[in-house]
Amino acid sequence: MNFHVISKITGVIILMIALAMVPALLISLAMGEGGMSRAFIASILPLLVLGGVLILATKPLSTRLRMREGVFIVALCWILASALGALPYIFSGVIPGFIDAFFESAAGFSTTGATLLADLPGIPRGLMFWRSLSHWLGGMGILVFAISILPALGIGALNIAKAETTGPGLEKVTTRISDNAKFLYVIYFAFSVLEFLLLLLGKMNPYDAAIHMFGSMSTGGLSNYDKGIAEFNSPYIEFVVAFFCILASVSFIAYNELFHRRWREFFREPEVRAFFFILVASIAFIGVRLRISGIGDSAADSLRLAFLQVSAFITSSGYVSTDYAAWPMVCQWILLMLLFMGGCSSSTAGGIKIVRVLVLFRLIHRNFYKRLHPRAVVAVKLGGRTVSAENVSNITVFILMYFVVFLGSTLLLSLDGQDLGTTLSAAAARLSNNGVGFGKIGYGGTYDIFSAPARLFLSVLMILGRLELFTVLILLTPSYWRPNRQ
Amino acid sequence: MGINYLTVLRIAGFSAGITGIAILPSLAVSFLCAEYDAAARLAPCAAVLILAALLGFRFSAPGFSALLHPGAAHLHALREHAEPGPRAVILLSVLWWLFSSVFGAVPYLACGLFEHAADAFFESVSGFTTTGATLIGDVEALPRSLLLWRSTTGWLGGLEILFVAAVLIPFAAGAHPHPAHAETAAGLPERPFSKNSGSGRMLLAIYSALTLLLFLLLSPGMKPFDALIHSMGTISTGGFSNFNDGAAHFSGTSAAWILTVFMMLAALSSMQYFRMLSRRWGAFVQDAEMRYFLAMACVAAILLSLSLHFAPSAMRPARSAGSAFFEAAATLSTTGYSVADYDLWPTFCQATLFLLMFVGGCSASPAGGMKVFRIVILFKLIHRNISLRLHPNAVVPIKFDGKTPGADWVSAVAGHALLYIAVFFSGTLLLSLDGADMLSSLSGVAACMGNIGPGFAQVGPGDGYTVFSAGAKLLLSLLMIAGRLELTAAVMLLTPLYWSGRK
Repeated sequence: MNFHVISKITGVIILMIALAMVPALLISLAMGEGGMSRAFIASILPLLVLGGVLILATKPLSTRLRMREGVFIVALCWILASALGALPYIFSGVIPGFIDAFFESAAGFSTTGATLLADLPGIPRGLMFWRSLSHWLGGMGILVFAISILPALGIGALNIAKAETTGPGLEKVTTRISDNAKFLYVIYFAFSVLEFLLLLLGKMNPYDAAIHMFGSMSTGGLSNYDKGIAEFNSPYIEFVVAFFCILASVSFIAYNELFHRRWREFFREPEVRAFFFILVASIAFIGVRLRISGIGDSAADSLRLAFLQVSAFITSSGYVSTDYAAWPMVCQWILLMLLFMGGCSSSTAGGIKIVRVLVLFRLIHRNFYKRLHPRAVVAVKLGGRTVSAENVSNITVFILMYFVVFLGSTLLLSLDGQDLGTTLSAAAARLSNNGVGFGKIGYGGTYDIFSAPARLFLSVLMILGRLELFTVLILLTPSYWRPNRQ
Repeated sequence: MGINYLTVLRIAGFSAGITGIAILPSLAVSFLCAEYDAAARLAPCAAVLILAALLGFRFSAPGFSALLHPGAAHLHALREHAEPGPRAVILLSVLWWLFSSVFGAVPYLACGLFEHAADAFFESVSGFTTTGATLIGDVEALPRSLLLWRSTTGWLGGLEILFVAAVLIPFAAGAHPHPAHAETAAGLPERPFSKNSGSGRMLLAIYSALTLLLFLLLSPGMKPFDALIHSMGTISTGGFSNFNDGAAHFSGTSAAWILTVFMMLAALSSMQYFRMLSRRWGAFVQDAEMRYFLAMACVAAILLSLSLHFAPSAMRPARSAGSAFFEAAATLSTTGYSVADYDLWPTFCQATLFLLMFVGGCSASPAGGMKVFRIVILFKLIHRNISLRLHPNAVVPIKFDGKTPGADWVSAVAGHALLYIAVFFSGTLLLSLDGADMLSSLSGVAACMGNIGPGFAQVGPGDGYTVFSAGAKLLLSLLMIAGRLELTAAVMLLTPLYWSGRK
């Protein structure tokens, strides 16, 4: 292990978190929230010192990072970020217990957006801003951010980026990984600014606009109102928020095609096409089904409800606006399937990712074919390009592992004694980084029904889901810790 | 080889004949128990089915059919020498279960047990696929002959799947036992049985002997008829009962423990029985699948017992340890008997049982589910993938039972698991159109695909599937057949791939 590099990168991340707290501190000061400001200062100063020491004390001889170290750094930084990001919650006394603060902070960075807080408008505004900002940082990846602004981190960054960006990473835009990271963040930043301006146009105040921009671009889905986006009672705002959630769930790599004005290529991207097809089909079906059941005032209203909930589930943002538990069963099941599926790869959405689902169907098809033609050699193709055998095997195992982890964590979580439906959906929602679920954690429900150990477990599950399982699970295997033996 | 309507006719005739003959014991019971009303309805059923079979054979006989259809020469070849290709085996096995279920539903309809044909079909499919899901609310009110018929369908279905899994599918793989073939139903990569009919007769003997043994063991504690029904239900892993409270009738008696043991025995691979008979005890004891199966059952039973032990008294059944072992065995073996209403148990127990519903029994057994060896392979696959990420250049083959089954076979196992997930989700999507609550819908689909029987909530133990509409029952029936044939065969029939590009 190259501990020098590890400690240097950890130092950078800690500094970054400290700096990211500064805007929240300024807001606290501007609002005259004395206690909150003190809590931020008390968090920022030690972090600055710690980060500075870690950076200055080490002089890495080489910046090479192997797979082993890349994974370790990413897992370590995410756990650290969640733990250190919890400090303002603890110091301000809003969430005094460490486990609960860790849960809230992990829900932030992992863009899950689950909350234990009940009375949202009563929370200090600085803290609220910090919570949403942690979303935004976690959305595209803390380390990817670091790589994009500090290309000096260098050569080994590929393994970090691989471990942190979502999706199987079948392609990349540029050859240099830091350029790649920069490209992702430039687009992320541009969309964020655009959404912020559009929300301002909708007569939102800048503070609310920022909170909701952070929540939708990261597909985290936090709001500073108990009713969420329904608070504004404005179809315009609802639409803008849902629209940018969807934009954030499209593969950011695919935006490269748009950037170069290759419109046709963008829509020919199999994952993007499938994503929009699933989105439109689900909205249409649910809209019609709701109309038949008489939910919604008019046909347009039914369609609006369908649009908002579908986009809340498929993008894993969780910006739901109505109690979908009262909807027909088939609509709920579609929402649950969307929850598992999630958005595109290289986006801020959670879940299994569309591209993997596409490969799943190709694999099933190939299996059928091989049953009929046992000695045929068939490659798995996606959009005319062959998916390498290694990627196919990685994707297969990822999907299997997703369900193993889902069922396993349901089993562990069931020790808490909530009903089976709530337990199943809590595990699924956490793993897919979606804030809402079914049963007692459905619309308007909070996670305070779970006990402290269950909350800790859910926090781990959120990070596990955000880092797409491998990065965390690999640390749990004995062979990881015995590098010289096979 | 090709399939033509004459093959189909022949299969239908064969199925009708077997069903007709299988009605005869129930007919005999109806006379013995003086149920003359039932007898008057069952006798024509048997007569018509046997007659239909004879007619079917007559018209599909090679000499006769050659006049009608030149392609019929293929048929002759099929019967005599040639080995059917994968397409034929797929279609024939699905058709076989469809025909059996349709003919098996005739006695229910003749006796006026159900108003709708879909209900009778569901009950019959549930029998022949050894699922044991039921639509009958009050079974104790049924004539004994009909109860026996219901259990006969289950028993026969268990025997048939043994034949298909052990004899027909490896036979279809033919002279080139390719792993991709062998995986589909028989499961294990090796070819356990030769294709001569000797092993088929052995299977029948083993299956009957187990049933008889269980019958003799149960007899001291209960009436002969009850013992018969429950031994048939246990050995076939179907799980039909003649009591309204099902196996809970025996709660606390030694019969519950006997059933627990025999449910596990029934879910063992028939290859293990062959090994026992040929006194290859070393191979028997070292069988990896059996070891994993027993280990899973024990761990699950112990977890259930612990959870029940510490549960509040309202949730705890009377004999919690016994119930825990019984439920673990009943779910894992996909029998679906139940000594207690686990819907009332702690959530941890429910989650454990829900997981077990996907596992199922061993390969080449009448049990359903994904099968133990596949679950083990999946975990090995996950483990291998993780270590490959650390050591990208390592070559790590997957091993099972001391053998290296090969990459194709492993990828077929993974493909099956993915298909299981896909069918589970889309099956629930279709079933949810019916509007039952989420837990009932998803556990109903899992229980039908896994050929288990009861699920949770509205389809929990003792509830039956009466909440669903006719269309939903039909869907569940198809899921049972698909699950029985390890999904691939049945789902493939729905794809254009199967019907196009015949080469």
